[in-house]
Amino acid sequence: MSQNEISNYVRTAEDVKKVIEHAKLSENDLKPNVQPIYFGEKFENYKLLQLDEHIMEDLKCGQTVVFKGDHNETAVLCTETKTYDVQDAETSNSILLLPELTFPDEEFNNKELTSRKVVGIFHKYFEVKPCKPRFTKLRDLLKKCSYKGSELEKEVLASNKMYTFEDLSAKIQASDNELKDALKEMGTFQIDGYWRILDFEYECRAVSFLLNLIDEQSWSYNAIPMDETLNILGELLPPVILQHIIDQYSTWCESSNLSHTHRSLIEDKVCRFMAVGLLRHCEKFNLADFKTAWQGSVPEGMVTNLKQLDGTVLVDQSSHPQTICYFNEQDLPDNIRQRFFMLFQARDKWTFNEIQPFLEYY
Amino acid sequence: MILVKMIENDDGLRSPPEWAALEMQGELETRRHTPLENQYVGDLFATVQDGVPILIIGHHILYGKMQTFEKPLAVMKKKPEADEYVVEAIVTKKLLFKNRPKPIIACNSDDL
Repeated sequence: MSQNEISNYVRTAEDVKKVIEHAKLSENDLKPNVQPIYFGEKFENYKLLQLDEHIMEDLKCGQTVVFKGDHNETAVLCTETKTYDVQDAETSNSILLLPELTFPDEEFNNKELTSRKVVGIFHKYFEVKPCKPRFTKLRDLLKKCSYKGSELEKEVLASNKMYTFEDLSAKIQASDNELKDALKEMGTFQIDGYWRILDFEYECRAVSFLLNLIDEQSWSYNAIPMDETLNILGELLPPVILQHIIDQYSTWCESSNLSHTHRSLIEDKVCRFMAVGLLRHCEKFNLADFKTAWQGSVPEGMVTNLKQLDGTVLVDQSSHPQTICYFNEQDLPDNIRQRFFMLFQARDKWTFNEIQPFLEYY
Repeated sequence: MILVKMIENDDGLRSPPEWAALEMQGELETRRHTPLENQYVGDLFATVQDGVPILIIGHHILYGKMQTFEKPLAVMKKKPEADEYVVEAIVTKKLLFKNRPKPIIACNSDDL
């Protein structure tokens, strides 16, 4: 076998015959095509990536999939629509890759020896598992450059980085589709191509302009004449902000005669916004007092209901008096373990119904 | 951000070649720990009955079986000076030799 150590050694039919005898195999029991295997002249620096059907399909359609993550983040792999957790998987086995090989189930009647070449030996591959997109960073980035009003805009622009969709797509560990959904869900909007959110205090001011107007004009909250609203509030708010507030908190009326002229406030959204405004700055609120104050803060005709605050508050029914506090699902970590840790730091025991809104996306 | 793209053939089609994998226990090394490149490894046979793959490496015989990867593997190569990997091949099938190799000589003496 010392011959094996010599490069450019080529197997002959004689050699193979000998080895068959030596191994006490019978030539008749073996298929005629024997494949001597050699290492190639150079091992390329390949990486192996596990694919599922979805990733494979996307790649075949010419779509690009992307590894995303900073140095302090564990990598994810994103397709157009999905996000995958990427782990470095190691195996104690050796995986040899061969560009050409005839498998035992393939017909191949060549009686000659067919040399096969190994282009690399691998013990590692990237394992992928579908996971939730990570949005904590998105909220942090957008909070830093939130819109605080036209008079402060110059200052905000001067001291903060602004983000286009491409900027966010490169930084956020989520697929583009998931990112688009998240931007919508977070109530973001664009100014000059940059994605922004409203600073909460500023949003309070803008929403109260709208609610005050409805109150002053004695309009019903579900039939607000748009032309007049835009005219009057256009004096108080920049057009892009006014449009954003209207988009966020109202929809076109459903009845056909009003469907292009009047809008209706979205009750749950307005109620939740007003509740957050009340709770945000205090540690705890007496539940009964809160309910009264909350109902008093929403437009006439709207009905507040604790269900509207799922995922936004914690109600402590065991304390006397009962209390409520602000506890937003969006402020919890994306990582499920860390999330559970935070949840059980906030409270020792949870019922299923209580905890469910905080785990809805998992 | 690192992009992963499928290699395109001359017709602009993205159906990369299908490569094969041999998976075996442990490490392969030459007796004198010389580099593996260019070395002869062994002979691969298949039985007529049931198509059992047999690999003979040096004085060792390995019986294997054919398997499909639950999830196929993409073989990627990084483009020089670019944050981009190109998938040059896909591996969906392997010959798995998961048992310890049997020494050919010892086998014979066992038979006696």
